[in-house]
Amino acid sequence: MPTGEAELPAVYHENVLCLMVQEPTVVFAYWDLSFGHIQAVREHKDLLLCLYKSNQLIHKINLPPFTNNWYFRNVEPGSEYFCELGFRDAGGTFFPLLRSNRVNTPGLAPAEEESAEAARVTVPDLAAPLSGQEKSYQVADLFDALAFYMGFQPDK
Amino acid sequence: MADGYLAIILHAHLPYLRHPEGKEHLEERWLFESITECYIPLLKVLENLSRDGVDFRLTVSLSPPLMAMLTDSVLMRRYANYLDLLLELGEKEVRRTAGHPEFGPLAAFYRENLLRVKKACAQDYGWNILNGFKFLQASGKVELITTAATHGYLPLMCTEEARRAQIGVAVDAFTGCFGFSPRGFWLPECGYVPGVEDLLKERKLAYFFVDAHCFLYARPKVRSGVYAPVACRNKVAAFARDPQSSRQVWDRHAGYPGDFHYREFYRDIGYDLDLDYLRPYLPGSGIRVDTGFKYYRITGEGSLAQKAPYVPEEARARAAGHAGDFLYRRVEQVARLKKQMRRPPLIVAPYDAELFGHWWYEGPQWLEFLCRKIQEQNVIRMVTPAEYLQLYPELPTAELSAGSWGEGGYNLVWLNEANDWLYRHLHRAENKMGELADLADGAGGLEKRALNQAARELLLAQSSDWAFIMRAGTAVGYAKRRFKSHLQNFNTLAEQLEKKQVAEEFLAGLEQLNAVFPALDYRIYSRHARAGLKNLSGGRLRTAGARYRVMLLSWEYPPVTVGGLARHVHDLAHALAGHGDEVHVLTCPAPALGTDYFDRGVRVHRVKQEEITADDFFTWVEQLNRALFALGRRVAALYGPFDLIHGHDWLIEYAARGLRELLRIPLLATIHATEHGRNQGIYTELQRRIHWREGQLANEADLVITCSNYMAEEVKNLFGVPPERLRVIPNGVDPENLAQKRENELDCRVKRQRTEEPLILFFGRLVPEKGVQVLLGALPAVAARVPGARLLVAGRGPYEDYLRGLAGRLGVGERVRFVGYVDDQGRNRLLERGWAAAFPSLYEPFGIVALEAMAAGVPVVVSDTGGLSDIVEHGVDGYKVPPGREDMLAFYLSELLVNHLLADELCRRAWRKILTLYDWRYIAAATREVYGELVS
Repeated sequence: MPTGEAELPAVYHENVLCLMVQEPTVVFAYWDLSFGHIQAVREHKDLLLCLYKSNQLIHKINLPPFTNNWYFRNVEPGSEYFCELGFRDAGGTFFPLLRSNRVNTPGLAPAEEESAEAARVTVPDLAAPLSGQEKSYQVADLFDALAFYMGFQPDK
Repeated sequence: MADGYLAIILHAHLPYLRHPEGKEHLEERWLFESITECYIPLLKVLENLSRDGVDFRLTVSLSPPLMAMLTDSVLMRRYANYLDLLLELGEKEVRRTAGHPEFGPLAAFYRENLLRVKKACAQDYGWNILNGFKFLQASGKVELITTAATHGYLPLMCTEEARRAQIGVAVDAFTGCFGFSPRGFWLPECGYVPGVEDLLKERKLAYFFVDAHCFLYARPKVRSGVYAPVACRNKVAAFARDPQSSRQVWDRHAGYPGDFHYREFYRDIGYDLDLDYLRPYLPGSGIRVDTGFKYYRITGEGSLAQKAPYVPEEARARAAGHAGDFLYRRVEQVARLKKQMRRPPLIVAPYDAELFGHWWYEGPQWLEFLCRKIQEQNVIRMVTPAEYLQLYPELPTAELSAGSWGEGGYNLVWLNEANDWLYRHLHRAENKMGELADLADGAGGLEKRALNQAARELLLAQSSDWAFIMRAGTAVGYAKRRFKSHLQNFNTLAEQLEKKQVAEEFLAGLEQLNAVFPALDYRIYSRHARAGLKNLSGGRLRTAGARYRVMLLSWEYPPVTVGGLARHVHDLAHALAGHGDEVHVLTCPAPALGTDYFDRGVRVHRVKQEEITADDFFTWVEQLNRALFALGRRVAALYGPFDLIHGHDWLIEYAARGLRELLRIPLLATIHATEHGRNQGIYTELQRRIHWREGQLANEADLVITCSNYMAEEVKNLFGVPPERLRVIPNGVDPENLAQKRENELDCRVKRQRTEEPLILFFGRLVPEKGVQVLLGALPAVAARVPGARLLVAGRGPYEDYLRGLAGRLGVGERVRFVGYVDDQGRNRLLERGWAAAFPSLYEPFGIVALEAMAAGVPVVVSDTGGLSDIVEHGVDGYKVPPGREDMLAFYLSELLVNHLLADELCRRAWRKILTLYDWRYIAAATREVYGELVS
């Protein structure tokens, strides 16, 4: 049985690059590299983290050693972002090893046009025994019917 | 009729704090204090109102962990002991303060309260406080709803399945407790992210709540602001919190709870009195904690030492005053709003229930005064969201913006430097849980128990409380411990499940320790839950148990095989039959087989050879369609009635449309590829006519299936088919073709032992859009890094001569072998030898060859285009390169040839993906889901 303090691995060495929205102007990326990718990186160069807005490169971060997450601040609300983790070769070509999911930062501009469409929503009626029987229950009756109450009397 | 409505919502939640393992756990006191000071006083207030005939309305959200704790015999027994101890302390306090003009009466006041609470628990509710709520719900004045299973913060989960489980498990737990399904849902922390409404709809939840800015930034603009609900596209209603009424209660300084006459929470005898005196009543025989005996009022801005004694009567008078003030301001608000609105404004005021009585001691009294005062006037009526929706079911539709009620309005509180590390663990566990659920379809015994417990541990780790506490900075140690232990339990169980070595003793221990959600079924995490399995518990689905009689139309069908269509329809037909459907395939002649026969559960009807005689292509097509139409009519008369027609590609378009009209049943069309796409334009008369027929089929069909998002986009753009009529379902891989069986983990290393030279494979027709020229262009660079590299090109086509010439010109002629057409077996033999496979297409509707390579354990590099984009996750189960980029193709291919560790990692992940996502059983189940939509 786990009784002592549990410890989790710092990383799992499974390939993942995940982008998350913190606020309309801040996105957060974390990543994890497999041993195979670590080997690839070792042979090539330092890691770069690139942030794209829609499909346009907007930030290129030379990652300090031992980083495994990054906050991009001052991104734009109401936009789509994704990022890539990889390295640049001698010729300057960027080779992404991992690509993140795409996220949308929430917009901060109220819409101009007004809603014209309407929908009719339906609310299901509650199950029969609980509707239209106001006051017909005695609390005690109710208890007797409850299986999960049975067999427990904490009074000493 | 009232001028306006007020909906007060109390959301009650505590994290799951059950520690059967130890004698005393400090954190269990959070529950005990809340019962004593909040839940019981609130119940009593509501019962008083009910008894006096006050026509109030209140919505109460009860979180599943709270429900579980309030019905847990271990915890309730401990609570009973806790109360007895406090009563003993109360007696001592009464004696100690005897004669003191202020504290004496206060001590007696608290002792009386404790006695009342004990009496309520024992006599009124039989130590199950939920009974009190149940009784109130029965009165019709209180609507009970629930929230996510462990109060998981939905916007920061990474899989839809994890969100579905949080919602589904909660609805089941609630239904188990109360005997009816909740109609509304409290999103934990009001955390909304677009798409959540679809999951709510699956469980028949009619409404939920968001914060005001989710309405403010909605599209299109919401005319009525936050003062009327809005319908999401799927007709689930959203209510927005009114900022004004929130502030009056919530605000630390300007809000009512800060009034100087109210009780001071932070002065408690637990901290003030002598330790020896208190020791018997403190946990761990001496840890100072709140006892609930609080003798001072807030008094003023001064320090805790400068507080004046609490006077309950004065505080009560203030509560009455504040209730009057609250109502007065709502009346004012309504008077202002109703001028701008076409229907009476609705003010939605949600609060954490624990604020009432616990932090704001006088909160329950305030609520009672408020309800009574509302009764005395006609401007405002109290309402529940469900009642409001029954009064005004017509709502404007809008797409809400994401948001929460946390600081900053978004995810900051649950994602910041203090807690961002949680997510790499949580997300991995979410994905792992989905994968385990997929792989263990129909597990039993120990395996099933382990899967269910793994799901419980994941749910408990997801509780938003842990991230919140880490940010807030108090009790951080406890939150970290809890988070880590649940996650570690999950990881251990997952590892045992993967190795098929579940340790029963360990599992049994966890089942006892973290015993929440006894009825949980792990299959709720399956990624195929949407496709027919989601009728797990309660949420009945149309397709559940349904058997369809379906007519599949295809111009080719094995053994008559021209392209990939025949194989697709064949595999689909058999997988559907495997689901219990009655499948009739109507197709081209195959004289050796006859016109009507059974093939392993699928009925095949073929037109007669003599019915199709033309040499001219279009006459031939017309004859085929006439014959198929006549055949369809006969088959329907013999076997009918049919539920629907499912036609594949344009060649059967005329027959399909005719049969649809004749039989008056829905037509579903799968469009595998388009003439426009294949040729990157329409240039000839032949192409124009095919294109027109494709358009006819796409537009006449009730729904259209495409095999990739890319194709859906293409069909939308080419034929103007609206997204509402498009469904994307990928192609499947025949499980019999899989190189390995599901039981064993794939071993990719074998391949390299079979072939000594690094071998790259390509399969496909030799036409420009398959991109072999790009691959040849990349080969010199590959050879520079991997001297022994070879390329094997399997397939034939008009481009072959050009490609052979190109290989020579590039100086890689001797590295490339063109082996011509290979059948399935030949392909499998080659796949056994390949070190990597490249599919550098410029156009690719789906890319089944890539799936086949992945299924056979060959790492792939594909073009980031068309269906291939959907199949491969870059750097995880293959690599993607922009179409035409020889340098990048060369880089990834050579990396896979030299970096064996990496190659094995990618192909293991790819293989799992095939097993869990592209098995025909799942693809057929997804197709049946579309059948269900059409038939209903």
